[in-house]
Amino acid sequence: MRRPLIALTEVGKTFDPGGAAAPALLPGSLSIAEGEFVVFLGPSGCGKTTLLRMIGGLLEPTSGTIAIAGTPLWEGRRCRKELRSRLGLVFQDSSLFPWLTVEENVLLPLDLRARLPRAERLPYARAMLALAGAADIGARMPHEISGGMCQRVAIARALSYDPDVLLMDEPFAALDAISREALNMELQRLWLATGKTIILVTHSMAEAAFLADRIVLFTPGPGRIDSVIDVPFPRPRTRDLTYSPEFQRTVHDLHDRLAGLMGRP
Amino acid sequence: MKRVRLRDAVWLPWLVTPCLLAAGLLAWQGFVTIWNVSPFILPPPRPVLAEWVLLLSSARAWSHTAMTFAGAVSGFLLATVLGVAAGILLSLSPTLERLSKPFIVAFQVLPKVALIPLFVVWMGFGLGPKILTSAILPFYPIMMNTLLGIRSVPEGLRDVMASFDAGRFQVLRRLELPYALPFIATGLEVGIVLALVGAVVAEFISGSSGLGYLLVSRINSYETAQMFAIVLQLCLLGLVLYAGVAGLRRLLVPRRAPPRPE
Repeated sequence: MRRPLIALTEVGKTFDPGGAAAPALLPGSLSIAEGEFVVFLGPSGCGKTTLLRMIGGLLEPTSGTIAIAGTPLWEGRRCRKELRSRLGLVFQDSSLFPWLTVEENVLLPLDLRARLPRAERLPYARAMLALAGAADIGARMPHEISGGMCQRVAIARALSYDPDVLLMDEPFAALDAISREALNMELQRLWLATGKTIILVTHSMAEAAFLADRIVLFTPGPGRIDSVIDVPFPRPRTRDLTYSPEFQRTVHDLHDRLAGLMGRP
Repeated sequence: MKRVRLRDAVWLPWLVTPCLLAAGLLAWQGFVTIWNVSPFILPPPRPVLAEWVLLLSSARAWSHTAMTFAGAVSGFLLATVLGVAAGILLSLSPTLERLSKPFIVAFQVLPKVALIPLFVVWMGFGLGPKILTSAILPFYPIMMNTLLGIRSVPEGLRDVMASFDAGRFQVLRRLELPYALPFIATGLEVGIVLALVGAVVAEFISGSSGLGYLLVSRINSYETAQMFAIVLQLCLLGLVLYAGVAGLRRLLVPRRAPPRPE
């Protein structure tokens, strides 16, 4: 058994403490091992993004503790800086800075954190772009490249300061089906190559079944963790796998569970 | 390569516009001739243009123009520095913004040219009142545009900076100011026109030089054609100032993405 890297203990969030609004996420516990690929799956409003933002240090939990490698991430309302640098975030809309070139976007966190000597930053940024499958577009502006390329750049940007964990909030939700499939392949390759721990939020059952070691199922109203499902398919997973009966059955089961949880046939 | 239609590239700017201008001048001439308007009220276009040519070839007139230019530009630069700084300061704290709002509104609704006599009392008839007036008129739009630009930064981009552990100053320098630059540039474009207004009005009251002073000094002698010529000169000056700021915008905001259709 690999040692747990992220430990969530009764972590919950209410945006309106003491008020009438339903909590965004009921307290729940979860342990994520180093190098694991975990997918948060659920419909809108189930608290999966809220939990991801709390693990990412963007949103303080109202209850429970989040520990990274045994150290609490939050001390009061403040997020521990030395822990946050171990977390890389990728957002749904890529959130590249439109006035910077692709290369400058990847350089930004290196500059802000001053991790490397100045002269080594650009070659390193280029290496990260190549790793994310976005070599040779360093001089382009974000609006000149496709949505899929933007997400590769966003991944390269998150990888640039060598975090242990990649937190991805529906990173491919806005892409067309073909690009999405290609990026799922890329992400698996990248994960196998780097050994990072990845938490990915999605509402696509096929994406979850393809990528995850474990799927954490969320239900809405109020949002909470319902169950954790192991996905046993061997790595590297291929496109052929997605056409296999076993894979189809897994997706089907996920569908039935989610539909059942939401009270629909 | 974008194809430019002949109509848009040649016809409209190089043929239609001059024709409209000529038609306007003809109508002006016709109006003056037919209604027999006194040249003290409205001189015909020819003497006005002649006066303007005289103005353009007179070193003294150019030194007056330079005085107005200097006043407007110094005031504008002062307003830029103070306006951007004030906008940043207000963006730092919503509490500060709420506290200062009544004072800002009071200052904004005040017809600020009413302060010019006070400025004269404080600073005499020199360049001082002119620069100050040219500074307080554009201050508000520059400050508000800076504030609006910083407030418009999308939460997603703030999250990105937070995930990089960026400090307050880093967020300002690497995210808020670059994002707000087009907003600030718009504020500057509005501001430069107001700065010129400020300079001319201050010269009406307190000047012993400048185009505003020149204009007022022509009232008693009824040299209406000269007054029109000076107005044309002010128009030229305004164009030059505006073009300067528009050029500055191109320099400051060189590589902006076009808005992405959703």
